[in-house]
Amino acid sequence: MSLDGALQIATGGLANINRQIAVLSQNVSNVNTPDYAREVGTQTSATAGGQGLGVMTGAVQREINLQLQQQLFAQNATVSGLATQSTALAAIDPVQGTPTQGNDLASRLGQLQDAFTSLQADPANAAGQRQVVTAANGLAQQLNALSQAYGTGRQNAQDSLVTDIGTLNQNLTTLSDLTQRITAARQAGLSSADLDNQRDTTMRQTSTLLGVSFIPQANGSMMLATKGGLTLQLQTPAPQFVAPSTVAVQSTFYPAGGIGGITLNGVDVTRALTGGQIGAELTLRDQTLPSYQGALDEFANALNTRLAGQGLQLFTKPAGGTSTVVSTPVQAGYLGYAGSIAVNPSVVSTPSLVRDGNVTVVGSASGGAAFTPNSATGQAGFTGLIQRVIGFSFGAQVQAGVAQSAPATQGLGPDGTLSAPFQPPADLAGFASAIVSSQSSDVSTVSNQLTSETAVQTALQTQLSASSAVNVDTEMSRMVELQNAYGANARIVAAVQAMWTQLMQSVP
Amino acid sequence: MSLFGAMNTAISGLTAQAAAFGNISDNVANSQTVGFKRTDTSFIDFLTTSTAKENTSGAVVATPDYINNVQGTVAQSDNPLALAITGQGFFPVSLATGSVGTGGSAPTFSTLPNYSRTGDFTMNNTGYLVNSAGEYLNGWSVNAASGVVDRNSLAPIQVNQTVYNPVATSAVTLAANLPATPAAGSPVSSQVNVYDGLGTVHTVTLNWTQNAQNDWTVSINAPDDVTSAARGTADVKFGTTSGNGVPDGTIGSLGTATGSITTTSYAAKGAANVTFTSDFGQGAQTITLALGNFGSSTGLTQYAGTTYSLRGLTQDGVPPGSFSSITTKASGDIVVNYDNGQTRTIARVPIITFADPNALQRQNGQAFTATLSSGSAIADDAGTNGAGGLIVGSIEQSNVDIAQEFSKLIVAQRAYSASAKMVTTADDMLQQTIDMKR
Repeated sequence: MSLDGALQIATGGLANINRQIAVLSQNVSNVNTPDYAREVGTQTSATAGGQGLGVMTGAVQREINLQLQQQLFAQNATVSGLATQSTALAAIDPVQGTPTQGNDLASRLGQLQDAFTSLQADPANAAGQRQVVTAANGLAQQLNALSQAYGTGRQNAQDSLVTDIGTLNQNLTTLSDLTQRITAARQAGLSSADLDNQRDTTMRQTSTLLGVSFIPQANGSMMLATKGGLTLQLQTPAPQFVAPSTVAVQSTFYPAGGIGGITLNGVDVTRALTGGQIGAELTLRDQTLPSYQGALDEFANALNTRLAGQGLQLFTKPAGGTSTVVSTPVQAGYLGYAGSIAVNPSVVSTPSLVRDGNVTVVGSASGGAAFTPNSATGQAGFTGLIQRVIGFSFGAQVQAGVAQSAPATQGLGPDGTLSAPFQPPADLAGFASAIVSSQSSDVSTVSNQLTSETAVQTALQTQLSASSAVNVDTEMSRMVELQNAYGANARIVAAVQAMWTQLMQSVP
Repeated sequence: MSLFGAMNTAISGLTAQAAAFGNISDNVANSQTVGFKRTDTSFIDFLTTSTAKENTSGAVVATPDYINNVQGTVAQSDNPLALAITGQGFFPVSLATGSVGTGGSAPTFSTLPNYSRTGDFTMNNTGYLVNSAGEYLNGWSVNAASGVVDRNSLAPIQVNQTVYNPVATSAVTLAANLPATPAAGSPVSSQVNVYDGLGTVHTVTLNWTQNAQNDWTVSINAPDDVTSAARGTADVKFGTTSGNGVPDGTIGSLGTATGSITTTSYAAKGAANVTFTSDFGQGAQTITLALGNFGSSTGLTQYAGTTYSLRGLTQDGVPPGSFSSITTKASGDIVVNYDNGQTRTIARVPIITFADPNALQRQNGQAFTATLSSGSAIADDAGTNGAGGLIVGSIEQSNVDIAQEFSKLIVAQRAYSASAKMVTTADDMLQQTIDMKR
């Protein structure tokens, strides 16, 4: 061991502290940066041939709990998916109306029923007849408004989907690029901590878009796996999804009805994308809103057929469905009927038809009893139709002792794959209430889930921050340690210098 | 005679101390030279007459004492290619004698092997690793495919493999759970990315359909296949439904393969592989889909659940990559890194030891050559058979201790002054002798 060696070791010590203080200042400056995990410099003592040779500075490491981070990513997807659903359903909620204002579907139906009841007392009253037409018009408009809201919701979901796929592609490009640089840095034995922190930010952003997990590979590269079973190697050139072009989704559906799939390398991977905003948008576009629409169409059809079945064609007939699938779906004849239903123009021009009826019913054992409309010049106080409407159209039976045919709850929608989440009672009022209550219960369920899942997310976020975020107190005490160590090393340098001077003076 | 003899002896002392002074000067001048080994001085006494009755003055001769086996200080360097030897041994290096080709792209090397501990290597413009003294680092070549080190020949290490050729996927390992109660209707689907011989990525879709409880059919589709997308189907049975004694939920049998698929048959703890052939335009490519082992829960399982969950997936194909950096390992391996995440070991640097390293012939540039007395060069892997270890990213400084040199300097100076005093005293005495005659 020589003076030179001592000086060398002290210089190495100073250089090591310089690097550590740089890491520390990086930590302190990023104390409020989201996703920043605390970095720590590593150091080992060096020996050669059994002789101590000072300190070696290693690669900078990050202090992060990767398991907790993955949990948080999964939770992010859950929360952002629920938030997307909640926002979309909340947009529909005002259109649903409320019973107190009398503008929800069940109230509108009740108003029609009440108008018929009032008319029964005085069938010849023209004002009462017009009241029935007005109430019918209110009901039809409510059905139109709901149908319109569902369509708008689907269109919004589709538009957001295209935007989110674009963002996802950008994230994948960033992730692939960063991963390549991390791999290169690790191969070269350099620190990749700062790049890792950058990648974490993009990983977090991606986790809100889609339910994904990140599987780290040995060499620093990373694989992305969606919850639906799709795996992507994050490598340049980055994998890119292709979203279906923005089409009007009102009368179209995925997969066979005009909306293309989300593709990767030309393969449709839509089913593999679940969770997060993208998963929620797909669910809204392909499941939730179409099944609402299906239930509403079913209600509109039941309303029309039950009235017509007793002798009154109060509403316009369905225009016919637009299905492109081979097998005929349950709702083949009346797809999208709720959007087009209106009061029969002949009834609007001649309101007395609501007293007289306009359909001749041939009685059958399973349908309504026989009925012949009252002629325009017939008895003014005719209540035969009104009784049938109040008794059977709005009732649970099509004629005494024969139950109404139950509305379909399975095989709904243009491709016959959707189902309503309820079993409606046999009468129309019950059906309307079931639709309203099931949809408002969906809204509150999603909203409650969002609240509880957000709480879990916050808890996870807090845990992760506690274990990985920068703590200024720790950093400050570390700074004092480093300062002292720097001073000690500098003293050794100064002592070696003094010894040198003495040595020089000893040589004459 | 004796006075002249004494004077000659004193003059030999002056010469010897001057030589020692020269060595000290050399050491101090090179105290900051990387990999420099110091030279000490030994003194040897020569006799003229030395008996019980008579002793006449002799002479002293200084001989250099080469200290090649003492470790110098190791300092950390910012150069990632720098290497320092801890312990015994030297790097094998070559000296360039000239160059051929445009711009000196192909240097020619001296056939005389040189050895050095100067480890501050950098990669020069022709891809060779050269230290600050201009010596080219030699190494054993490593077979790129097999990774076998060829220890028979040493040659200058040149990094010229600038492209990592793509590797077609031949094996995919899948660890996942199929849901015991899947949603009715659409099959459980998973996508795998594979590479063809040109490094182009293709998607292969695995569609899993549950036929009955614990009985599944996998259908493999490769939409990019030039012949047809459907690559075939195979049945996968779990638990005792398979007829084999395996734990519930683990693979029990594979079979009923159609199309291009072949499957392995049941053997306790044997590999459960589904092999299919696909042609992405580069000829038939056989890909083995490893689903784990029969009766084991490490690969594909079928436990409770309603959705497919992936636990891990690896495939051995590699896209093309280009050169990104070069690193050295403590084992002496020189590793080339590519931007596709792959690495390739191109050479290994051996450590050369000698029976007597202090007897090596010094050469310019802190290098040494073997001599008869040093013994022949023995090449070993770092850290084996007495050869020193390697520290990467560090350099070995000289083994000169200036304090020690200065103390030797003081001694040499005093000894020189004393010898000079002997000469002047002898001169005075001779003058007195001459003055005796008037």
